[in-house]
Amino acid sequence: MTIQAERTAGTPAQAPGDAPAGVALAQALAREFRPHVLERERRGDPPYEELARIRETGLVNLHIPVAYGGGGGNWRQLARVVVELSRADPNIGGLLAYHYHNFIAPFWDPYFDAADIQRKSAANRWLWGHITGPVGAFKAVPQPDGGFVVSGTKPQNTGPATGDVTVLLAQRTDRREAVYAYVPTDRKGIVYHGGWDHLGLRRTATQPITFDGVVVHPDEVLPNTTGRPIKSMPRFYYATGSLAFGAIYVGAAWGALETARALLRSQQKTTGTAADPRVLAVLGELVGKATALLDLQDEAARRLDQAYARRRTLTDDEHDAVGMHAEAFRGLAARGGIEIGNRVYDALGPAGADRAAGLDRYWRDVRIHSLHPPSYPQSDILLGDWAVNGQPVRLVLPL
Amino acid sequence: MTVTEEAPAFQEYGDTDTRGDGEWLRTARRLSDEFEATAIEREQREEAPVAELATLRETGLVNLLIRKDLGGGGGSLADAVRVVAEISKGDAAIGALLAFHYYVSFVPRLWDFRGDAAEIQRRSAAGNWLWANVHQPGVGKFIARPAGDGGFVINGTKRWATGGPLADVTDVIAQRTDRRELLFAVLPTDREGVSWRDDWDHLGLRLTATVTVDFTDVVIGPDEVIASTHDAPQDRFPPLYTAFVLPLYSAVFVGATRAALTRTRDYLRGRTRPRLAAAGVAPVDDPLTQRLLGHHLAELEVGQEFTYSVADRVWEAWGNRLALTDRDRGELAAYAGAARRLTADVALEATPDVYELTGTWAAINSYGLDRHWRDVRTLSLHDSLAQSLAGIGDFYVNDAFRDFPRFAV
Repeated sequence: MTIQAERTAGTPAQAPGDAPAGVALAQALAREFRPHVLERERRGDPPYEELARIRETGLVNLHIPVAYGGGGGNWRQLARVVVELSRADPNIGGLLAYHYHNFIAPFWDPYFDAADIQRKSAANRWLWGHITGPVGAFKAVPQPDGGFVVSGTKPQNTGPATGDVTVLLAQRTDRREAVYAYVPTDRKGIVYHGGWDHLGLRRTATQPITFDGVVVHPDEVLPNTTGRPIKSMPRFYYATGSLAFGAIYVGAAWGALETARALLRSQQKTTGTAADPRVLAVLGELVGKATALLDLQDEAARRLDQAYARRRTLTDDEHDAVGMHAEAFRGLAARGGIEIGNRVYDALGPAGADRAAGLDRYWRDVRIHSLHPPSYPQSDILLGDWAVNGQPVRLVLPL
Repeated sequence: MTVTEEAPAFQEYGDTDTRGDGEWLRTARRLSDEFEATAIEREQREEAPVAELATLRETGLVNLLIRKDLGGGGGSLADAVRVVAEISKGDAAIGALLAFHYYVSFVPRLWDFRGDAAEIQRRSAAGNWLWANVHQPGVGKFIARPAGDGGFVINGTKRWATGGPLADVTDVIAQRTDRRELLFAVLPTDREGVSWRDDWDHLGLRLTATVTVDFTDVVIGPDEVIASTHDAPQDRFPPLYTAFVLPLYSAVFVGATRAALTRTRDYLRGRTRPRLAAAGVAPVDDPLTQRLLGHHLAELEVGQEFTYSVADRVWEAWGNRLALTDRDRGELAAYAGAARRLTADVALEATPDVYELTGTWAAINSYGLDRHWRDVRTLSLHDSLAQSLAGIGDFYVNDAFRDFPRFAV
């Protein structure tokens, strides 16, 4: 089986009807980023330069409908973009995954699409982060003008430190409801504590963040036209998160396979291992798994896109089924990403562990990110509860 | 088997040894604890384990495999395996260096099959030598030219020679220019013309100094040459080489896996925040925690017992070495290969999985939970698992074990 140099096996760069500036653009940017990844990853440098290119080229707006000034990409393309970027660097793919997944304003406003926020986001090429942990740690005090003053601390946050705006979840102090809002990441009163020195995703600048009396203006509060009070996370949040996170793992798996392929080819003259059936069998088994994961990702995205298109009439059961399917994908992708990042070494000699090859970063990145709740043992319970008891994941907030 | 904290850990590796009093295992246990306390810091500072290796010399653990009548400990391969597993639990890099030392210092006895390399054993015991190796004459063309006095002059380069800069002596296998045969010799690591580069920058086992070595007109004295006492000219690795090497590798996998599980357990004992199952359940009472740790522990125990069994069979075969057939030796190598494959698989599954139990906080670099995976992943690349598995199948199907190429041409 041949893996094309610039295309993963079985992965068309574009499908009919895709936005032109989508996956192909991500591939081009990934090529551009790849030469610097090793050195920057080792130093843990946040990808400011790369994210600037993602803004400049418009990839940052792919998730926004054309009508609001965006690229009009669907979830199949967004997830593919995460894959393409993660093949080069799961840190960058990961930050884009968070970015697309946390653009939740439209999820709370199914009738008007949060059109105003969408236009602003597209016009300013905003990159989004999120601070949406357990609400109890963040309190929102209502103000007479309709805004809030927010205070609290959340220990691990990905995206705000490298983004332009961040979505925010806090508990209202006046009633048992939550509020969703967004603020610029440099708003007065936001304190970044830094200190990220972990196994993987070393470039994401994940860190504790404190809100110390941060003012949220009325037009920064996300409009809610769902007809329900905010007592849970919004519809589609679970499915988009599972899809986007799983796409990081799929991209990392392909990145590891491609790194191994390059090593085998470069050693072929001296070792002959690229023609050794025992080695090919190891790699082939893993390529088979990665191919299946990518297809499953496309299918999860297709279901999500279809459901989202019918969001105003979608029943809870239909919505939940999409989320559980995406969860099944993410669990398999996490296991697959860890296994592929780990076992791909079986096809290599000691050169595979040479730090100059940088193969370990794919395993490290998937290993650490897949601990993000629900980790796959938790995911097994969730899927089991759904299968046995018909109980879906609803993300009810502990208010 | 015991998993309670209070029980002496050597019970985890069996509580008997050839001495009968468990003294080697107690010593190894003590050193392992000492090494573990500084392992993360030592690796992050990239500090060679010079003091730790000195302790292995002083305590006599380096001499464990040498015959008692020649000044050594008179231990068995299974004793060496248990000590390596114990040391690897504290620091797999040092465990791997000791594993390499044990089999490398045994190769003279495999070469001088009838004479048991008695003189070199005596000198090694007297000097508390730590051994390194330069064992792949086919890679980088190690060439030995006769010097006329019974000695030789050797030239060659080898990548990934483990522990040379940290050891006292190294053995070398080279191709003789005067006949189709390999030369085997033992020399001090600081011999003129031997240079160990500083080029090891790999994923794991980072303190093993697995560097490129260059031999430039290195003079070998006649008394440094170990003569083969096999009937046929020696044109490949000697018999039983694989059978001695692989259980010692398995021991490193076993020890590193044990370390990952033990550290995870200890970490969870100090935590109250629920992790996997429903809210309100402490990590140690979480059925998922128990299931995952139980699964990996069960696999580890199987791998460990398999490894001991291999070591015992190899040692028995060694006692009976002159009567062994090719098939006997092939069977032993395949059996040892199966145990190595199993223990490597267990290690490669368990060391990533423990993160499921500890979560993101324990993934902080200062806690260093990743060193267990990095070390086993690196050691398992020494020779490809894919190829070794095929070798086991080859023996099963064809009654032949063809793992090592012939070198002399």
